[in-house]
Amino acid sequence: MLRPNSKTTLYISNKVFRYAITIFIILTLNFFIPRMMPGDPMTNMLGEGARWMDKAYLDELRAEYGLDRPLHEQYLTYLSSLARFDLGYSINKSLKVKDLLMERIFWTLLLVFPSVIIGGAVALILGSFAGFRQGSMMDRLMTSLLLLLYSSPSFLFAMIMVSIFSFHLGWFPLGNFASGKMHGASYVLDVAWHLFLPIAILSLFEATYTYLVIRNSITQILGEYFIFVARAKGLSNRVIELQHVIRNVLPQFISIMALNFGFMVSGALIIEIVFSLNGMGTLIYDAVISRDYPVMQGAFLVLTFFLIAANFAADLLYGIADPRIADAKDSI
Amino acid sequence: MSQGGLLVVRGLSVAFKTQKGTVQAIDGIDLDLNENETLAIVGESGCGKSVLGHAIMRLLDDIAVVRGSVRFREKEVYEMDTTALLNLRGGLISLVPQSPSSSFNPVITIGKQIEELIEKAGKEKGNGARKRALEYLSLAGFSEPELIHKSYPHRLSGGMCERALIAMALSVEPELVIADEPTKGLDALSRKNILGLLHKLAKDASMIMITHDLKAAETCERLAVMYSGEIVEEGPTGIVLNHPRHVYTKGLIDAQPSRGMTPIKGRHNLFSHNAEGCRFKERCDAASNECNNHPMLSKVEDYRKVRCCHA
Amino acid sequence: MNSKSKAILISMLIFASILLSGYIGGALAASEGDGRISNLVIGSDMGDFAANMADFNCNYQMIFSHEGLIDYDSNGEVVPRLAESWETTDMKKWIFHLVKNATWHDGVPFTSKDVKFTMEYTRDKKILYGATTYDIINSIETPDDYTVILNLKEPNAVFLAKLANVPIVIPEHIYAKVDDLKKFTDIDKMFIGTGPYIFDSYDHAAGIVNFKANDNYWVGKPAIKNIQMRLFKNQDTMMMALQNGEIDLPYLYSKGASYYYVPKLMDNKKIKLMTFDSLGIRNTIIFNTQKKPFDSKDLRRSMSLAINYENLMNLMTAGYGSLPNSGLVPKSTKYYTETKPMEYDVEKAKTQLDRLGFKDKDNDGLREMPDGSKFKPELVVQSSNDESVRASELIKKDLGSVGIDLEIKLVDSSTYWKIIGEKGHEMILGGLPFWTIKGYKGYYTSIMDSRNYGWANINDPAYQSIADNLGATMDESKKEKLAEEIQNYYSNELPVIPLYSMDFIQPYDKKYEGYVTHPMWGVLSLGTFMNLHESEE
Ligand SMILES: Nc1ncnc2c1ncn2[C@@H]1O[C@H](COP(=O)(O)OP(=O)(O)OP(=O)(O)O)[C@@H](O)[C@H]1O
Ligand code: SF4
Ligand SMILES: [Mg+2]
Repeated sequence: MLRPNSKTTLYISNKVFRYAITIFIILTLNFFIPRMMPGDPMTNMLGEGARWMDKAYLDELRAEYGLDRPLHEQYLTYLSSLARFDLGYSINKSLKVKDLLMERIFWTLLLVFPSVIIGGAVALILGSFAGFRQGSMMDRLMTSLLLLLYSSPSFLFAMIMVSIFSFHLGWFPLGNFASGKMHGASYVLDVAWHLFLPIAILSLFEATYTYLVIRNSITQILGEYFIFVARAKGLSNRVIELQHVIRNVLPQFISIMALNFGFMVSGALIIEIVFSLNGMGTLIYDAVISRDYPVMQGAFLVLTFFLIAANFAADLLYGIADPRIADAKDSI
Repeated sequence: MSQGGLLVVRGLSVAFKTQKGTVQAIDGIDLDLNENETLAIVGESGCGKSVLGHAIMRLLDDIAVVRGSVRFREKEVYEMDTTALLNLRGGLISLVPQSPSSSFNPVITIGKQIEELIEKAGKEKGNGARKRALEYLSLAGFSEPELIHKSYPHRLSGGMCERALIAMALSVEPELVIADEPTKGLDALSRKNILGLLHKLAKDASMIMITHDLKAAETCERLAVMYSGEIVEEGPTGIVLNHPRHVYTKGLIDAQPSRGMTPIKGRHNLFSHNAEGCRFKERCDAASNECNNHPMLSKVEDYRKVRCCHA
Repeated sequence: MNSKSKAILISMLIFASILLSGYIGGALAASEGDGRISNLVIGSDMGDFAANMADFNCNYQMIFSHEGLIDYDSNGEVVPRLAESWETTDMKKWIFHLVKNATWHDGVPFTSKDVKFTMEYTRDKKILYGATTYDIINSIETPDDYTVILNLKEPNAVFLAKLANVPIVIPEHIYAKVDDLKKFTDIDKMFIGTGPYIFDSYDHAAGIVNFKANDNYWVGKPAIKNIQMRLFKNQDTMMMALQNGEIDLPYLYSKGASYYYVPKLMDNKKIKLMTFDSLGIRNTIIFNTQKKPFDSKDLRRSMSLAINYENLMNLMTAGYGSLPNSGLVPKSTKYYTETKPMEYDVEKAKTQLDRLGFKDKDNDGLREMPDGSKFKPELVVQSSNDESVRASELIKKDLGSVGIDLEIKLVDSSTYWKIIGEKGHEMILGGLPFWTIKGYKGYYTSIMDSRNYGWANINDPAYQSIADNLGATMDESKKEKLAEEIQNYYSNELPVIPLYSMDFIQPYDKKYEGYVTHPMWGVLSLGTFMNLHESEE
């Protein structure tokens, strides 16, 4: 029958323990996955650096970065540096990974965070609108438009937008985060002006998938018996839609948003390339291509923490949004 | 037949256009209900009982084609504007819906769902609505109404949901209660409790009780038997059950557990509606040539009507 | 729409218009009275600005702020820079005479001590771009401030080319105090060189690196007062910026602009296009000459006969291409020898393959190996290089037409170099840029000889002895003969099939002219920095 909310402490400590194990496993994977890819940080230099270096020199470099040591030794070093919050130096860029990440994350969040929020809001609003008026002109128009966007190559789409709004109309800059040599309020406005188009496009990308999920989920909820009962109670459509339907969409919406927030720090590779932005997307891409282990490890570490934090937040919100789930957790 | 009754239904038909063809869910229903009168509607599954209940409240979705008239307090339901309609539903007429465990919104507390109805019906606001919700929950037999009030639906058993639904439906003091299978899936004791509760709370209202269960039907003053979208027999409950005139009514009575559960032979076929003659004739032992003409629902005694050529 | 949502909409519009008006755009007038260009805006694809000396991509230093003892001219021949002359009698002892009027950006005079320091420091600190080069030096003497004597461990005939490859000398008075280069992050100090430009600032958010002219530059005052490098991550927006007039010059490091943009750029009256010899080969097939059956020069030759070079060049270069000869070495190179052009003859390819025993024995339309097993030569291609991917498909079709079932293996760059480094390849598709001809003992020996990088993995003693002699001979006539021999070797043995060369395409805003090219840095050469001026028109 009624279950009192008593085992909360046990639940939380249980949860913390499981998160700790998850983090450890991911940290381990973050170490091994880069090393399982063909080649190592030196192989790429064999290409570009052949201009300057003799081949034998690469082995000296390997030794310098400790890459010649047995894997388990490197792993222990990796763990002990992590314990000291030491992320090491980028092999390819010769900068402190920590500094590199901090700068990139700041700009990436400035770009992606608003996009996730705007994209989510747009998806929720349009998805609900289309879901409630399924089969209407508006619904069909929006759904086919967003489906088209969802399946279109994003680089091409973004390029077309740049070419229209930045190149032909000249409303926005062609790229970067700022014009340079500005200070104070005008600098902030300048950054906002630079971010407008990339955020708009990224929001659209973020919105497409969520929109489709919301719309379908609304269709499904409208068919539920309790919605019929709500109508039998003489509630207006507005009340039914806003209170009864949307409330039921929230759990799903929260989990998608959590995922989007979790992956936020992985940046937006395509948008970064199109708008020449130095964000996490290109950082990770370059690091993977050049097998820059320390950067990969550092970036994946940050990503891990974001994902887990988002997951944790989603867990909490999910429990609030759907009482059945909160109860199911209590009983664990 | 009093024209001044609470509910007057005339020639009500509902057809659903589906991919497989048109389903004539109810066909030419006439019904009268006075104030403070209780009517039970019985019949096999799929005969159109729920559709009739929903049609009275104009609750059918867009794919339903509705003909005929439903007048509540002399107002035509199918000509009402949105405001009047929303006022009718969950105000003048309350539905006790048919599957209790899926009738509540899973993410909203029971209390909130009752209060929103009370507030919508304009009975009480805010704290008053809360008080009234608690009052009706306790009237519905909950010893800890506060606990139920703040609970989410999934924490309640089916029987508890049913009681909460009854409390909700009656919290707005409707003039007519349509209770759709209120005893479905309950054991004998709970069934008795629910029926007692329903009649107690609805003592100032009229009621249409849709049911499979003749025991439940016995608690109502009048009884209508439906077959394949039509009323085939109607009259005071005691008389109809003790002296059934229609073969189908007899069959229903014999199919009761207390009477040895002899099932009616064959199955009713919804798509046979277009066929000429009595819809029951494939399953009727008394069928004759005359039955090829569609029989009318005709008065056979005072207060009593039957649809059979041989009645 | 209710009044609340109206209010929101209006405030959004106001915000948007503030954003738009916040833009203070447009480059200011570029020129001043003294005939110098006040600001040159360059769009660049050089990627993230990593200003660390330990980085092997010290391109910004090498181009702008620093310089080496010697430099390349447009044709890839060495010319004086910080060393105004040099001499050697045995190629072991090299004497360099330095310019006397060079100073560091902070005013300290440049001397031979700095050169000695640079070479030892670079070697000891294992700085990526130079450690190998200076490793062959045994000892360094500085008899006076303007003379440096280098004693090599062994005689080396291509030492000058090696030196020109490391165009960077660093100041002793700054780096002597720097022990751990990774921790040396003072960008201003890091950029103190003797070169024509002084580092000004780097705006990470704007992606702009600013340099200002070194007005005390020992060669003279640079012709451009300020240079802005705007970093782009894609060519499309860079070309839009050129058309918009936001940049004066799109700079694409060692590749030039894609011909894809040419028609659009030619439509624009403000833009001019120049082309220049890349001094390299754009695409080649490199065999692993020790891997069976590609160790057979007859097989390599018969495969080469199946490729339609003309067609490939036309499709890949849009008229900017040319066909290298089988001897590989570009015409502009010293001691270039005329060798046979590559031959395309499908029938001949078929008869030769038949004769070699590569016949279609099971009648599936594809040739088998002489022992009857499947013949599926594998070509390793970098997946990130669109041009190579397209070219490889055309090659597959050509080889298919003579019954060879070419398998294309697309891999990312690290995998590509790993395969080559381990000599795991049968054939690779790749370019031979300018520097590949210079390394090791010159004339492509570094990428041929298995003792060095040896992408072609040649261990033929005959070849290696030519290479060794080339690396040790100073006698011009002997050298000429050896160069001829090695080109004939390439032509006869075909360790590398040259596919096509392509000129670099360099668009620029026509308001400035006087660009001079450099084999490594394209138009970002000292010549450009000293000579660029406003157009007459
Ligand atoms: N929305 C609909 N679309 C199509 N057909 C419908 C719809 N609603 C009801 N029907 C059909 O109308 C007929 C009558 O249904 P109804 O729900 O009224 O039966 P019922 O007598 O209440 O049966 P039960 O005792 O099982 O509740 C059924 O055959 C059903 O299939
Ligand atoms: S009309 Fe005929 S078939 Fe129908 S119930 Fe009466 S006797 Fe049976
Ligand atoms: Mg029913």
